[in-house]
Amino acid sequence: MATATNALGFPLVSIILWLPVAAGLVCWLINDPRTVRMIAVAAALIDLLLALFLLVKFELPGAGTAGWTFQFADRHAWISTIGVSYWVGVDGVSIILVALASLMMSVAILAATFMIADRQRLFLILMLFLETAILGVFVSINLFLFFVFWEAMLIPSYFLLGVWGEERRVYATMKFVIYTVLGSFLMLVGIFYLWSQTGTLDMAGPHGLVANPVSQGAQNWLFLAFGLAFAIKTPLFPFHAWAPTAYTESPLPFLIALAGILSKAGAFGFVRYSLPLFPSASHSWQALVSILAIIGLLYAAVLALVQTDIKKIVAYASISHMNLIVLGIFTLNATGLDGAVLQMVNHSIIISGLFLAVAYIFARTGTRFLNGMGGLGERWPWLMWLFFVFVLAGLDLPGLGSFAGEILIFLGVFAENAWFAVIGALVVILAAWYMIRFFQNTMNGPVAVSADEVAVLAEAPGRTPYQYPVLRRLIPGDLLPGEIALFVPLILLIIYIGIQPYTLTQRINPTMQPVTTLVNRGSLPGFGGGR
Amino acid sequence: MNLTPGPEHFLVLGAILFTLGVIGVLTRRDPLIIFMSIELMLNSVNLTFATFSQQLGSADGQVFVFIVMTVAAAEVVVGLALIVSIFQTRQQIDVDELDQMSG
Amino acid sequence: MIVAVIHINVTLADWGSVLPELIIAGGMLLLMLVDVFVPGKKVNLTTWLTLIILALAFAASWNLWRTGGMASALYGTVTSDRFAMFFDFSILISAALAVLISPGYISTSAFDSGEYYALILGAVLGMMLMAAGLSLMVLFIALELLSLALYILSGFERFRPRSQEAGFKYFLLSSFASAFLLYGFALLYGVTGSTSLIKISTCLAGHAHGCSAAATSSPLLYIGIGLMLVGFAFKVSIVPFHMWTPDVYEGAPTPVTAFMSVATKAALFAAFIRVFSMSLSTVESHWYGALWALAIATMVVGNIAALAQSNMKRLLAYSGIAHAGYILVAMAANNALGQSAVAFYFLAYTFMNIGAFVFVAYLETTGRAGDEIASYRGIFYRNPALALPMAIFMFSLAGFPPTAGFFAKYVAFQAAVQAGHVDLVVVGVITSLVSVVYYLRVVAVMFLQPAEEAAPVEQPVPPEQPPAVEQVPASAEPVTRPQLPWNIDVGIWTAALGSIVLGIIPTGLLTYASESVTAVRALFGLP
Repeated sequence: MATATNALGFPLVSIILWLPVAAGLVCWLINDPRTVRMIAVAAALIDLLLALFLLVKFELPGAGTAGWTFQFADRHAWISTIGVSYWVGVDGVSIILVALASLMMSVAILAATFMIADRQRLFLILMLFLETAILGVFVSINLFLFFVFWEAMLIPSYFLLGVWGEERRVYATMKFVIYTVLGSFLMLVGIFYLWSQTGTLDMAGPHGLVANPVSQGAQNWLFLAFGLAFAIKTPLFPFHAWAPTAYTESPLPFLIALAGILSKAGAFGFVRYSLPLFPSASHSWQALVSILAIIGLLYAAVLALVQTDIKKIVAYASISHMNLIVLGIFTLNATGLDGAVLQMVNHSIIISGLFLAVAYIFARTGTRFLNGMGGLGERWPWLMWLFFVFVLAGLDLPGLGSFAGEILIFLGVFAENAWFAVIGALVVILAAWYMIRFFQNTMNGPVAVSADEVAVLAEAPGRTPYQYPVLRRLIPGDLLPGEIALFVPLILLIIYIGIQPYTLTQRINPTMQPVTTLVNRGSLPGFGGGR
Repeated sequence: MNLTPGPEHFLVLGAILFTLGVIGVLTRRDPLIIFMSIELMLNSVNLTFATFSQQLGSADGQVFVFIVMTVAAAEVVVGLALIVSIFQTRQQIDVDELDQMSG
Repeated sequence: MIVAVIHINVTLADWGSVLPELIIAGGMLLLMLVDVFVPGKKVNLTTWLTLIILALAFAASWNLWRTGGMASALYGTVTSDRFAMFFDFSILISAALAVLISPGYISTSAFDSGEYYALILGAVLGMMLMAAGLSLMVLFIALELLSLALYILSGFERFRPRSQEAGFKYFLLSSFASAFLLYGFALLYGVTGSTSLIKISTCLAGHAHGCSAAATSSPLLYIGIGLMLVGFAFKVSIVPFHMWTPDVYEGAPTPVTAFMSVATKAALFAAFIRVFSMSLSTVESHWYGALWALAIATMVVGNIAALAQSNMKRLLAYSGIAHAGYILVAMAANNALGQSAVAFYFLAYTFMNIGAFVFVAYLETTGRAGDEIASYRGIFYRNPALALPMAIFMFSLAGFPPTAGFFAKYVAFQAAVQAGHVDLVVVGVITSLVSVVYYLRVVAVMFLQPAEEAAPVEQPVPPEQPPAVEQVPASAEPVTRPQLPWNIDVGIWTAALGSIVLGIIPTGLLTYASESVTAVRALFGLP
């Protein structure tokens, strides 16, 4: 794993990383709501453009130079007495997740500009802080730095969920926080132990953690300590209890960040840390994690099938697909890993799109329950057709993004264990079932409620129709331009990835190949160059 | 039988007095008696210091004794002031009655 | 006839090395004079005077830090090494913050401000001497000086029964503890033949003449160490000697609680380290086991008891006990990193803990029961400028990055891991997890539960108007935002800024902390 020096001559990764926080601090000093909105959106979009620039500039390894490289690296001494450095950079996986995160955060911040009216400035500031924390998780090459960002994600999340959430937000927030903290504190013990064994917390480099794996016995314990944190965040099957409540209680812009990006941080943790740092332990725990993932993906899919709250349907669909991604990661072969990373991108887009659709329906009908809906498509065709695209993508329609990802995952699983693949593939049927049920019951069928009847509940000043509790004033017509604008980039991206998954996989694969070599051999020959 | 007390006797006496002081603090309920018990503890330490000073032939211990005596006097001043101030508002002083805050 | 000729050999440099202490002592006298000779209300005058004196002392300490100070001055009784100076910084900053929030409290409780500030300075003087003492005598005098001042300060609201009760309880239990400490000193003196910490250390290392070879295995040494541990444990509220803490913290005037919760502990831990980790380092095996048990008991009991508290000052008392446990973990590591972790911890703790007390003190001056957590309900919706820094303090105390609390705890635990005490760290991490629950409960009360009357303040939009995308009412800014008094504003934001900055760029201060430890270790001949 060579760490290329910064090809650009300026620390672009650091700029991308810190721009949102800087913008957030500027927003803090400004009182005019319009200016605040403008700054927040501008910061998010500039970050997105810079991330795309990075994605394009990312140097693909030539044939034969298979290498796990951290590019655009930026390294400074920070607290050398305890093995801590500020070291950021991107590899083939994190570059994609950085671009994805900046895209989803842009969508979320745009959504917040018109969906959140109550204390909007603070909401935007917290979203910007959250963006930096998430990006930090993806670009850190030092374990301490990673942990700092990992924990820092929790603070804005706490407020975004707790202050702007729905009725049971306090319960949801506490559950979310306690689960997350439980995982990360054990990870902290693991980090202490790693440092005491190796004397460094840098991932790469000749003296880095990847080049010097700890003993096999220690790996097994460390895998658990780290794995629990990632499993909770993802969420993997028995550790998912926080997720349905947190998802249903979240305000929509934060939900895009939570389901779209924060869950990917967990999966990313498995790929970046669990596998390379504990290769032999990954093998030992492979079967167990795979079985948990299979149980989880089927279990969540069945639950999605029986929900009547449309937000919960999408929440369980999200959990189900995240478990599929974990299954893909723990194939420990390059095909499965490629598929898993590709699917992270697809999942993020599809789930965000579906949650957006849920919010749009809610803002028009004032309810989230299937029995209060039906025949919405007749009244609001734009909503129906755009929503339909995401439903199709959720069904893994060939030609849309998720198809390629899931095929790769199942191919990978099949190579490891045919039974797992067969049982896991049942989820495709279940997914089709709940997606179609969701779509049919909302958009088609008899018109259940007329637009005039749904208006209920208290008038709450300072709220928009997207917020809980429901306003008397619902949005009367079809999708507004702003609402469509949020859908458009997601749909374009789904189609693009469906046609051109190679754009992503050619970046993912060169990083995943060495990781699988490392996991399967226990070491990575030729690793440890660079700084 | 030699009845001349040696240094160890004084040390043991100091320890006994100190223990008596501790017992007094832990068992008595009248603040003045508790207070006197603490003084007893301090003075038993003084005895110990003086003994060691004699035994080691160093003056430090005796200097320490003077310091402790001075400090003990200062403590008396503050302690009595606090007791008087409590007595003024409550007209009774029993440490068990000082339970406005659950501890 | 014996003619004693005493050469008093004290140079100007000797006095220079206690210049910060001299400034504080002079300031204390000055304040008493002002109290007597300046007529009328003089809250502002005395507050400013105290702040100036503290600033001068800080400048003097900084100068000593810069020059490195004198390793041992005034016949080896005190030192002005960087270790002492580093703790002086914590003590002076916390005193300044406590003084800053006192005027409001003084005017609501009708204190006599001159006496009050003079006593604060008296306590500061004791604390600084405690951190600088190289002799058991100085340590004892310093301890009594700070304790006597704090007894009076705790009971300073002499017409409020709780304050009286706090002062009296503190007085009885603390002087009880002093007696233990003193008896321990006496036995240590008896075993080693000296009251100088450096001579004690050389004696126990077996390098000194006139010191019995059996000193290290003398039973008196064991008893003395035990008694000193009890004394120190009482004073820094370590389980099982912590019972006085919640009552005293709750009853004492809030600025005093704020001050003593941090500065007393800082001063005593400085002395604790000098006596145990330095002077008694060669007999570590005598006390490590006890320290280990105390650390575990303190972390467990402190955190679990805090869960049940409904009063903020009591919660902070138990939280302080728990933090003393984490600091003990760093101390038990008994290496340079651990000792610098202790020094750094106190700087971090100064900001985050006093910040929380500033919050309580302000609410108390507004006339409500400022220490009942239930009364914080929805405070964010009424007064965000007060709630936000408080959230920072809570997250910092709970140890979330990127705050000072996280970093301090991280270094403390890492030092323990480096020394091989993984068991302590595991307990520390698990109990930290427990602490998240009670700290975040405070934040939840403030932020997640709007008070019933606290509907967002704004003009309702006419109902016939269709909701357009652009039509966002300017409700983000409540029209009537309460203004904080400037001193609370400065105090709370200084503390908040400190809590954040120390978490993001701790490098410089951590380097200072380790320099200070290098100085003190060199003094005692440790690597």
